Amino acid sequence: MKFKVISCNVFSHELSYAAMESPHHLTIEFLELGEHAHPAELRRKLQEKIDRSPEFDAILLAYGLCGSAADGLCARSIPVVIPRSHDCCGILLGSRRRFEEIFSPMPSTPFGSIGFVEHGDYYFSDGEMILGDGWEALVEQYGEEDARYIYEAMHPKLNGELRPIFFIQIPEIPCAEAMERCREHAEKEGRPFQTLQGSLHLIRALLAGNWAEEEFLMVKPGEMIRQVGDWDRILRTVPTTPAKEEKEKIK
Amino acid sequence: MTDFEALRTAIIKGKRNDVTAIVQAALEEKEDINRLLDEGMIPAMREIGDKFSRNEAYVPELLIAARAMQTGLALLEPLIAASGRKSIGKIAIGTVKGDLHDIGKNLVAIMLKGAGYDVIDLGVNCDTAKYDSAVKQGADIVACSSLLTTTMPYMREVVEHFKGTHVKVIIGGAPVTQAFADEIGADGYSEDANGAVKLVDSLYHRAS
Repeated sequence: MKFKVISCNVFSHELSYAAMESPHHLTIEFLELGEHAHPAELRRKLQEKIDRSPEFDAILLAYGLCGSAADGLCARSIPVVIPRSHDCCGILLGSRRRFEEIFSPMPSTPFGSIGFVEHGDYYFSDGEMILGDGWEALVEQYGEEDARYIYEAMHPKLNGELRPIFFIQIPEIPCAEAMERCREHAEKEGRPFQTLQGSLHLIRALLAGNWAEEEFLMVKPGEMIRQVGDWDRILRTVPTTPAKEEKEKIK
Repeated sequence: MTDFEALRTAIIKGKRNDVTAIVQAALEEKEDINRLLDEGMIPAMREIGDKFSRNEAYVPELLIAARAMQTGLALLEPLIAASGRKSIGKIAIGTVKGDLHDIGKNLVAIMLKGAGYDVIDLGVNCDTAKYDSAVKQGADIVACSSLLTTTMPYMREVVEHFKGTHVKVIIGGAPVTQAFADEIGADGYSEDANGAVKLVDSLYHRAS
């Protein structure tokens, strides 16, 4: 089978590894990490790529709901397959059940992986825009007093404490250096650093074509992805109607 | 004479000391508080909010602008009641349970205050008991924000909680959509802070 894979580059290592094992012919295209901060824009980019890929047997999205970016995406002439996950954290952990178990008590808990360290400053900037190493760049641009205010606002605390960061390491993917950089940064911030063992399970299954209904949403031609607003199914399909699609475009 | 252009610029640039100086001078000259708000501070916040929506301004700029606006509002607040600019409604606002992200919520709170509403800011990680406490203080609109799709399901719980009461629940936040608001039966949704003021106005049957 010929599959088009559209992925966030947070998964570049995991995807390359799993692609070697896949029996299918894969064409992989990466988008930049961090796009979920502007979900409407990410949705537009993903839809454009879906629309331009009619010559495959299916389009595989290595994305979760990602800030609602997947909400409103439409399959055209070929099916679209997407893991049932809120974001990359659930995908890196290999199951949304495990994600729920760890993160549901306090969803505002940062996480990292080799892809985050290599491709963006996600947790340093809380999904927002500061590039470079946060604090120094802020002081330079805004002065120390305003920088302090901005920094505090962008590093939310629970009962006066920063949440720990969970670095997800997948056994097949060497990540010692990235993990160390993440740990150093957490230490600098005064944030507890913890690790979690991740799994290639969902990425492998996505690329292998093993799309169990429990783990993946299959969007057939003429259907649209809708978020459920829960921790269980996460995504569902609805029939695409021109009016609905128009609404998504306007957003 | 108040330099409204300078006041707007000071807010947009997040220069709160400049805002303090301009507002204090204006108050000494008995400037109309409504003019300070309607011709200076509110349009400035609208402008920075719009720029942010268009990805032309970044979070740090928005944050310091909001703080400058808050500084100006704090100077006006003691005088607002006496000015005849009556409170037109009481709104409870809070980021929902499990979510600690309050930048957008704070911006909406400031815009609502600027528009003349009493705002009870409940902070972050709000459960229904917290929203209830504000309703007991007279809030008749509950505004919920969320930055994560994992905390959006709690908005459904808040809507269910207030179903059948006089309290209206409105929702917003980067991942929240009109479709989601419709699905959970929220009384309103706005995609940005300016729209949130219009939404609240409409719920109070005021023309924006």
